[in-house]
Amino acid sequence: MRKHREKRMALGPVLLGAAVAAMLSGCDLGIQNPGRISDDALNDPSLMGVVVNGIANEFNITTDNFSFDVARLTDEMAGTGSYFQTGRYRRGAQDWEETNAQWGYYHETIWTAEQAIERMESLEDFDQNTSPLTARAYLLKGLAERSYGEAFCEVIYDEGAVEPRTAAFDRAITALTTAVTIGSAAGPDGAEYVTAARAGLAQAYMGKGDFGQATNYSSQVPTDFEVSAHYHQNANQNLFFNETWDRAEIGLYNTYGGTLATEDPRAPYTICGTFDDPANPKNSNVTPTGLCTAHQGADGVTAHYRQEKYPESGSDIPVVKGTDMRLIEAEAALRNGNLAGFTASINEVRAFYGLDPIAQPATAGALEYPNAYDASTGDVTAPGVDGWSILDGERYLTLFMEGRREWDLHRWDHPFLNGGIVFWDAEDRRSSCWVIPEIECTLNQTVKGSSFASGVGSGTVTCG
Amino acid sequence: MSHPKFVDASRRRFRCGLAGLMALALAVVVATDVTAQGTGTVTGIVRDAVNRNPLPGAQVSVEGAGLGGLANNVGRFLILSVPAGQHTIQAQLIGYRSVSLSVTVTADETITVDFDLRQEALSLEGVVVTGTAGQARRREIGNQISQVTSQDIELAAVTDIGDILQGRTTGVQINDFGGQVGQASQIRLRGNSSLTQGNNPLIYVDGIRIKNNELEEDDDEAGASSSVFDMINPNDIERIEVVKGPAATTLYGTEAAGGVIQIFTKRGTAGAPAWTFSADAGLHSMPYIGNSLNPKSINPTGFQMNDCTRSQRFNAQTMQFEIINEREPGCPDNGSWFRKGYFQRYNVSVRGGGENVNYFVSGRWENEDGVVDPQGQESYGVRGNVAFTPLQGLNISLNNNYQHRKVTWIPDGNNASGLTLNVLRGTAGYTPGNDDSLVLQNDLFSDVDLFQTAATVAWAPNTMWDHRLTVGMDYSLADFIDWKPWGFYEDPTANRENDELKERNLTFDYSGSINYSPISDISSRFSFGGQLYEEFTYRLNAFDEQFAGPGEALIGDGTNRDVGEDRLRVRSGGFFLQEAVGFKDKLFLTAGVRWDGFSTFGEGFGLATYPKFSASYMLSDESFFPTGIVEQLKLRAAWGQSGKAPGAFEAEKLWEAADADEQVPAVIIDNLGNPDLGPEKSTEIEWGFDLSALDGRVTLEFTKYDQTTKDALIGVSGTPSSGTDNTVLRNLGEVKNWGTESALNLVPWRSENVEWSVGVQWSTNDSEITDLGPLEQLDGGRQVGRPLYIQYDDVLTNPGEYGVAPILADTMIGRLFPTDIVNLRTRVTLWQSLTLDVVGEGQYGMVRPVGPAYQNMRRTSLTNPVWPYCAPILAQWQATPGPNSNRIANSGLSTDQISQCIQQYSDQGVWTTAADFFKLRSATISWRLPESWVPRARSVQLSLQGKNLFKITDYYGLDPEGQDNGFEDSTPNDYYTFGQPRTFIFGVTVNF
Repeated sequence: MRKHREKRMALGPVLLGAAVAAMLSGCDLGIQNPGRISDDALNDPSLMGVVVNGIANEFNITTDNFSFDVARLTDEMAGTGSYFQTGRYRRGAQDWEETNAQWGYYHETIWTAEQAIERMESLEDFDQNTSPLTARAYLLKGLAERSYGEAFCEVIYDEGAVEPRTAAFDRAITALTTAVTIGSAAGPDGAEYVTAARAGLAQAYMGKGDFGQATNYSSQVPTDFEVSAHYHQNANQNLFFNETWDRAEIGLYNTYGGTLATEDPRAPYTICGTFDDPANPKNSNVTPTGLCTAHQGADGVTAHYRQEKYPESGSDIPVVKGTDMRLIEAEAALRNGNLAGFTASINEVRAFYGLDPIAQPATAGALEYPNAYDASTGDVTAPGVDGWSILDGERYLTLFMEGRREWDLHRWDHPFLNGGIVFWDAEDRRSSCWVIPEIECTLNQTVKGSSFASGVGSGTVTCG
Repeated sequence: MSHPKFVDASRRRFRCGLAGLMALALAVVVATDVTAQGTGTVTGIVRDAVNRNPLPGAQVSVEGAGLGGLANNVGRFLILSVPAGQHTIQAQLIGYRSVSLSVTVTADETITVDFDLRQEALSLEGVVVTGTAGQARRREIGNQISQVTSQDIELAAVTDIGDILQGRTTGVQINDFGGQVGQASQIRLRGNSSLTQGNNPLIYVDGIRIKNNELEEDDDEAGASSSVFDMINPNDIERIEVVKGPAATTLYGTEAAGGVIQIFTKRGTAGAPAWTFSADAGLHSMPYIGNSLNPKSINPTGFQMNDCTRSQRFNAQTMQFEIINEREPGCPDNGSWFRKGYFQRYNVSVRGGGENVNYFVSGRWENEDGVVDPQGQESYGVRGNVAFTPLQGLNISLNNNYQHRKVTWIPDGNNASGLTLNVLRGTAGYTPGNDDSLVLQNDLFSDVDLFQTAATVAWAPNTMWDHRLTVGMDYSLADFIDWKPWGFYEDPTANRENDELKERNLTFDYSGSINYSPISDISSRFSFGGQLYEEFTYRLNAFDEQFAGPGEALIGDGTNRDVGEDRLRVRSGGFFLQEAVGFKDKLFLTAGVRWDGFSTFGEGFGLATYPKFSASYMLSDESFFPTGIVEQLKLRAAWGQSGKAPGAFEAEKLWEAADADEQVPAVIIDNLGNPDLGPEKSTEIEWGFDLSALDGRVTLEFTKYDQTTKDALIGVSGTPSSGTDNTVLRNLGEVKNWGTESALNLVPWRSENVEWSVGVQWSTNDSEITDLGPLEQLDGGRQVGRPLYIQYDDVLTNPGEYGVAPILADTMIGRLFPTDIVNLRTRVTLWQSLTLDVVGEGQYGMVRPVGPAYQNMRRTSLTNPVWPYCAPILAQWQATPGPNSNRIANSGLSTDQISQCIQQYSDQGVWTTAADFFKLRSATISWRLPESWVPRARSVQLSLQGKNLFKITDYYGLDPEGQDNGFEDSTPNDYYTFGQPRTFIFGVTVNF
């Protein structure tokens, strides 16, 4: 009898344990949460529109963030805010710990485009060779590559070795050429993508210094053409708006655009606050003008000059436009000593914005900082005003807050880079292109031991 | 024959409570045949020896006779049918030292035996249930376990439940992040062991798991957040058990690596209804914020927040500050941004029952003003705990709790429309005309309903078997509103945000045990069981702006709406086996294992396995152990594992719906997934001893623990150039976490009318990252060889130099969590009725970035010296002609001064400092009125309590505990949140 009881004792827990185990095995522990989409579910031709829109989403974020940072890093905007990077970027300081995010944005945009293209190619019921969606995917990839090349001093693909930034321009040219081909095959639905791709090709060839090819493509783009990265108050919001209207992180105080004799329509702004003692702004209170919510920068000390180019969180940021094409042609003419052609192109741009034409400058001259050319008066006879000063001012204003200024400063080796100060102070030599980030050095075994261009003059950092 | 020492008092009380005794007859828990011949009755009362309060629930038993019972709701007990003859009667209660008395029972007679039990820090006979299957005596447990009892809670100056644990237990860090009422505290048990998955402990109430993270998304606007934990009524708590590391939390499995806090609410006890009514009234008062003794302090003069009737201006000519008697715009009528925050609380409860049913029912209401108008909270709630015993050995208990709380916040913290930020920045703030009262037009409130229900069936059909099944739900509905009304300076056409969070946590928990003794002197307890847990979260966030006109509008009334919905369901299931063997009731060995499945594990992972072993040895029970000074000495050691699960979506490759362009649908990558993803697994070994000496007047506990967390979950960015830097969670790191916990309790004086006890607790903790896989460093400078949470920033590398520029370099400035916590406590009880109880806590070894220092420095000008320390330095700098190279060379300023006060040479790291502090957490004077004064009541107690009465610190920021990122964040940053105010509470408790 006793043995029997002991047997039951031992069996009891086993049975109960088995019951619990059985209970657990019947419990569905899989993820059952809505709100996410599995990878396989996207293999449907009817979903290619949202897949390509996904590239646009990434592209818009990339463009927005990069344009904002370029404005802070260059003479486009005065960093009047309190973000840590605003303070550093105002001085022209940037290191490889600060370029992680933008490096990631570019690569993810390009990767997303490649994923979409690969998916479209894999679908039997989808004609990727004639679809405007495919053309748009290549266009967005090409424009992202072009911008990537303009942003970073050097580039890397697929965990490979360091390459010169021209590699990005080459890839941009390949993608944009395909966009032209497919867009052309797509008929009217692809026409806009074709023109935009040609504009992108002009930019990419200019990036390579090939003004012949650049003007070949730019000439195919009308002056009033414009394609933008799109923003919406309920989608990707325009960062410039949020950081200048909701808070005063950057402003036009003491910038080229903010010191013209009269306001230029390409760089509109509102004076929100004025220094009580303009001669001693560092120790002056700021009096509100009553025109804005914030009268002084988020730093609490600088008068806020609020940009009006992007007056809504849904304001779009131009990516390619015909006026840029005319300025590429103007620069090509200037480089060729053709001041008449240069002036004609400049005036085509000015006319587009309703500005008076300028007279032909006497000389091509050289760049200076501060720039003596006042675009609002168009006076080319003022001391120091010459072809390069005009091009500098016109590109500054035409491409204002579009993420292009740093590339111009870099490729021109602009004197602003040598300690140019917008407000407060600056490094002796400002950063002019983005260094490959530390995270790439950490994770990419191929580049161990390589040197990266630091973005400051000819300086380098070593990926140890 | 009764015990001579107690006979008179007990007889007197027996007469007074005759009616109660009649009822008591129904409440006998264990009784044998009342008609048996040759038996007598034992009765009496169990009281606290120091303050004479009755002790309901104390267990009284006749050793060796299998007879016993529980003291009823007024502390009385009755044991029938005790065989005539000599017996030893023992009374015990958790948290008290057991007392045994010899009596002689005479047939057909009743003898009275009263027990006076003394609280003791070390109660090895007390029963605990946390961390072990079923229940066990503390002497059997191989790991350290902390307890806080209702007696401690009654003496604590409590404004929220975190106050109960603060300064009272080793290895527990409770930090108050700010001074808004309704704000939750951060809890850490034995520091941090996870780099990415949070370090909040699991919290159980009456056996069901409750939400342990932030309740609402209010920290962005209010710089504060609240929690479900804080909504539990402290008056309902019978005791709290805390187990702190994986060695003790193995049976809780995945998610338990951060420790477990288990709360037990009060139960009914047999007897006529015993009512308790308490009323508290008090006030919060804010001392000068900042450190008035430190010249670097934000507030050395007390201006701005404390006194807005005056300000100061720096005269660069005289290099002196001048007082300006100009009232700040918007300054409240009382001349300060702070007010006295009055509050009142009322609590009523009744407990009682009969032979088969008992109950505890309570209700409360409170209204509390914060120190800034209109901050405050109002709350109310009810609890009903009912237990049935339909059959001998079967107990069914139902616990229900409903609480409601509405907190009105003020905007604060890292918020451009925050009050503290704008006030402290003076004219460099964001408010138009420097009228900072405008920010208070921003309505912020959270309205929370909490419902907790648990049903537990405990069945012990015989002395061999016992089973326990608990099913319960923790349900909370939080409604958070951020309303910037029409005309608000930041957004004149108004905007409104509504965040609705519903969270439901379901617990199913079964455990069973078999107790048997295979051979003499060996006891065995084999346990088994399983748990299912489901956490469901639903969040709806809506935003609207550009409203048509004045009046409080709702979402949908504006013209620019945005809405987001989130639903998350995480399930887990586990089962365990445990065998506990005892040898001669002196040596106890326990082995167990738990297996867990989790919905967030990757498909390729399978079940997680967590084993444990522990040993406990009552060395003092050995015959060779010398008798005399040391009465009890227990050696213990434990080894065990538990884990932390990955997030809900981490294992699968998924895309996320998004908007693009002009709001057209799009998909973007959400997560690349990791099919092999599993939990990070923490292994802990702890050992120590518990010692009691000199008749319990000296107790000493010591514990040393070492934790190693392997497969630590770390987000690894893909190499960006490979396509996406999308972070994939991988099991690849290793961290270590170690420390000691020591607790010494002394009773230097004990007499009939005076008892004085002193307690010192010292906890150490440190951690180190030992492996990061392929990563060299995580964010915040965290790398191998450094602690888990550090402040890593630029600091001056060439201090004390003149004529050269400061050189800053990134370095680890210090730890963000304390390496040492010291708790000091003393309690004096006079004439068994007047008690003084004081608890202080010191935290040492951590640093904190002083956000207001760095940010105000950047905004300091000679006309707006919002960081006064820097004004003279700035004046000296500006008086030297530029450029900066000349100022560096000729201003006469040191590299220290330049790096502190000249913006372009400074950094947050320069303004990071040691945050050591000692705070008087709680001071209480409690007086139990003489019974003759209150003839209609069982007892009346008056108390005067103070909380946070003073602090000792060199920290120059707002408060060394300051944090505006919510209590889940492990990177605390003092950023424009004011610290805890002083609190004074006057209370009356009446027991009928």
